Amino acid sequence: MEFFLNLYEGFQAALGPQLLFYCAVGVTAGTAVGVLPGIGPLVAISVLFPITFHVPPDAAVILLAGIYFGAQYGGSTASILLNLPGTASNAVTCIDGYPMARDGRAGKALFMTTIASFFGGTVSLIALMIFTPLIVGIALKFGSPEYFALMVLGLIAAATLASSSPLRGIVMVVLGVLLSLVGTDVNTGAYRFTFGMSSLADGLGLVPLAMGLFGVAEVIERLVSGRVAGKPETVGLKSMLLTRDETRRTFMPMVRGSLCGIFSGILPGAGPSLGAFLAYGLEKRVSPNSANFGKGAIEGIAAPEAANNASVQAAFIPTLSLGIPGDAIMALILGALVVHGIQPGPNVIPQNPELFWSLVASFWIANILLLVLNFPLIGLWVKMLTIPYSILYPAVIMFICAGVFSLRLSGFDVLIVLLFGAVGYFFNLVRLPTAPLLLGFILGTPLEQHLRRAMIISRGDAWVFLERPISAVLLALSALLILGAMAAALIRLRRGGGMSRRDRVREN
Amino acid sequence: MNDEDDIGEGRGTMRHTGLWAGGMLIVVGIFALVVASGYTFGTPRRMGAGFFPVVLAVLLVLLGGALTVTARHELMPILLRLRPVVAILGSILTFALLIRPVGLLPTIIIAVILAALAEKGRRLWSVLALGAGVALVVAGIFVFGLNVPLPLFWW
Repeated sequence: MEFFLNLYEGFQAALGPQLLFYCAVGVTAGTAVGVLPGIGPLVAISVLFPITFHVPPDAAVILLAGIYFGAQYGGSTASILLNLPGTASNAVTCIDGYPMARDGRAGKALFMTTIASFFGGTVSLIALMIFTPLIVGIALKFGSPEYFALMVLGLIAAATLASSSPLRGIVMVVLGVLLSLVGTDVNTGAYRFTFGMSSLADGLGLVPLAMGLFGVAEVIERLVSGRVAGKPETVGLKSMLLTRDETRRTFMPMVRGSLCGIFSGILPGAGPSLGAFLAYGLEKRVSPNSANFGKGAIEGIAAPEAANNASVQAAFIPTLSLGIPGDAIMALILGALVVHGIQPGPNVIPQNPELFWSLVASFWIANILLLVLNFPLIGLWVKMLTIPYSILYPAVIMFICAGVFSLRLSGFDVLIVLLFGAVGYFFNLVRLPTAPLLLGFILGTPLEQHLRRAMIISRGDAWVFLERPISAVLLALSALLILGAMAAALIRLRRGGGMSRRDRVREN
Repeated sequence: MNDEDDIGEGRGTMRHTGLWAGGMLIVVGIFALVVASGYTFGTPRRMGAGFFPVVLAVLLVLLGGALTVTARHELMPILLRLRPVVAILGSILTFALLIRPVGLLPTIIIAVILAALAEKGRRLWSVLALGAGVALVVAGIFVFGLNVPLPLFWW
């Protein structure tokens, strides 16, 4: 009964004018960046992040979450109409979506992806409501050694699973943790890596760092590569309706896709792209219609689209229950909570139950809003595909600058954006992944805290991490991930010099 | 697909990306190690401000070295065009330097003009119109929507 009471109160809060407003802004902005190829959710979140400083924490999280959800809904539009994925996680939708469009079934494909996204989101939210409190119950018993081990596992999993080169991922995590040390050490009061600059005493800001690394670097990258999109055809509403047979055939693919998505969402470092690929691969294997995959099979877009949306919503399970973000976007959302003085970890929900339930309710509302935005208003989004990048990118840069400046009215922060924009572009050039760096940056401070506390409790004996069963298991899993990655790298080296040139280009 | 065509046409050059990446990480690691060795190290039980940074810096140097060794033969196509890089970074620098003395609206118009230089052959009037439009939208959201005290002009 308490469950329904909580949910009811959550909906009461979520339907208030402020939360509803930021939810609507988030999903609309998210759909827009999802539709536009070349501007992903990370850029949009970087641009809108400064706004979260000026609104309450629940509105902040809903705004950012709405962007992430909306991008998954909107991202399939360009995949289907232009054979150009709107975001990375919609890449697999091109395989069957574009052939459907060439068959004159673009409307059906767009409708299917909207329904599948909604289905995946719904299943995932049910998992979020059930599992998050359960995990919190376990995690509340954690001490500092368990926390330290959990964060190590989260960082290593994110570094080794997400990128094709685990070594590069891990080295970037280390660099991120190192960057998080800039500023005043909370335990000793010493200034570290400040080089006598008073602006650095509070440390590097999360926002200027993320905006430079993701927003600015991505704009430069796209201008250098000079990719441009074609012109889409218009889509009428009537052409969107599915037949009864199509509805029946896509039900199980959506169920399986949602489960793949939840799995990849909970796993740190996996994320929506992996979920979508997993779902497509599974569907191709089990579907009775597998012969038509790649030629416009509707099952081939239903499963991955359910998966990517399920994945981004399930990613909130570890983020909200343990304070371990699975990817860079979750790290930023966690950052929005930190900005409002909420320390991530299992105490978040017991201390702010109303926050959790209003978030859950808002996520439901976001999905319903997205259904409305993507079905009757689809024509509007298709038109948006014709806006040239020449207009978009100066606006993106100015939003980033003005947003960062508005936080502390500090020109120094804008210079940090400049620095990390240049650094981020260099990282992209030499294929160093930036998302693990951001995860390391966010978890760096608590990582050092828990290490120190654990060592004080154990009187300087490092065995404490292996004597306590939970932390021992977590660290063993981390070691296993590293060993597995090393073994895979060795096999690849033996086979003759790493990835082929083609793979490397595609990875970019 | 498009990227590969571009590279095939020879606009890109092949570079030792592994060496660049590993070398940069080693340099950063050694620098951090030198700086952090000036902080009190402490004991494992009572860690000083220097303990964690020193451990991380050593780890960074070792991992950077491993990357340099394993990826030393790695050749990757790199597409180098300086014009967009300079234009975008210059636009941000201009914003940082002008925002206080000049105010939000003129700063954005000037910075948009610089950002537009990233692409060749853009018409001045359309860039000016874009700058004015962006300036108004940014002012509308931050100054009037969120009540951030940003000065619009220098007076």
